[in-house]
Amino acid sequence: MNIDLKNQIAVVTGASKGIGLSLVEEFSKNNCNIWACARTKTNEFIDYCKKLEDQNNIFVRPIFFDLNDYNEIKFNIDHINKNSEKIDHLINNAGVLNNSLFQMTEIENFKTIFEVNFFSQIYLSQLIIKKMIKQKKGNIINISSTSSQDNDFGRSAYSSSKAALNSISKVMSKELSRFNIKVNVIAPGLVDTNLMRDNTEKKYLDDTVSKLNVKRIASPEEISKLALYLSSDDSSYISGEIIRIDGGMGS
Amino acid sequence: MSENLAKYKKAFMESLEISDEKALDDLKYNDIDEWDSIGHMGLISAIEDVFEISIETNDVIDFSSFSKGKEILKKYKVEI
Repeated sequence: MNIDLKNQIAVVTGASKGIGLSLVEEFSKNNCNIWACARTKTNEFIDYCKKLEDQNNIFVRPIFFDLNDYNEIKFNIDHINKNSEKIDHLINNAGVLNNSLFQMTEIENFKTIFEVNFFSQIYLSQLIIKKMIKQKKGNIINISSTSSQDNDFGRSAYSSSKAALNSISKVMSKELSRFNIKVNVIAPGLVDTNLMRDNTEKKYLDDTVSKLNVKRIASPEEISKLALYLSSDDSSYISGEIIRIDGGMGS
Repeated sequence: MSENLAKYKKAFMESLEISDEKALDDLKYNDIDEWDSIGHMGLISAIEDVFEISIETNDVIDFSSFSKGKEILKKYKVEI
């Protein structure tokens, strides 16, 4: 897909792995400058960002902070805001997943999942949106999951945290449209990431794949290409949507 | 008029589309159609922009009038 995001700037969270890493790759290939936010600092990721910069003649700046720490979020997003003429795109991709039956999930675990998948993302969004309001333009993509709608067995905390993200995204779309800011949700199904493989039993995975129309799991690139489209002018009339990308799961 | 007061008034007048400067002193949130919750976001953005500050969410909520805003901005070392 050729979409030119030249001179545009994106902030991507959860950027060092899985779908996030693919987002960084796809956006950089399409000439978008990127603040690549991740929790854990590694030389491998820093070097990779540098390689993308050199290959695409853009900036890809790795920035490390913990989404459980609001002071760190504030400090680092203030840094991004101060050092960016504008922010065109925010992609809230960071997330955590756990598997446990509802009655076996301690309340602290619910809070931990909601903290990363919901509260920290809305706080981070509030800080970035201030800049988008000034620009009177912006694009926000929240990465959710088909679990948010399918309410998968054993994923009460994860599914409900992503359902909350879906809901607030629709409200944000309504409130922010006046400032020419669009907000959408991408809800992927099974994607070939460590997060998915570490949290999905092989038997369940095989069984689910056999029921998919496309009979395979998605690659992270297939998700990031949808994000790319939603960040292009070609999708200017799409806002407030929850877009499933699931290979025909349950259809 | 101090430079900061002029900037503060300009942010209000441009954000809320107010033409009469005299109307500002007693202006409160929701007094006019333009200063609704959405207009408030635009106003706060304009004030942050002009004074190069970032207003905390609790202060955004407390920012209920033209005069209250002056008090709040003192916290951010902006004297009006």
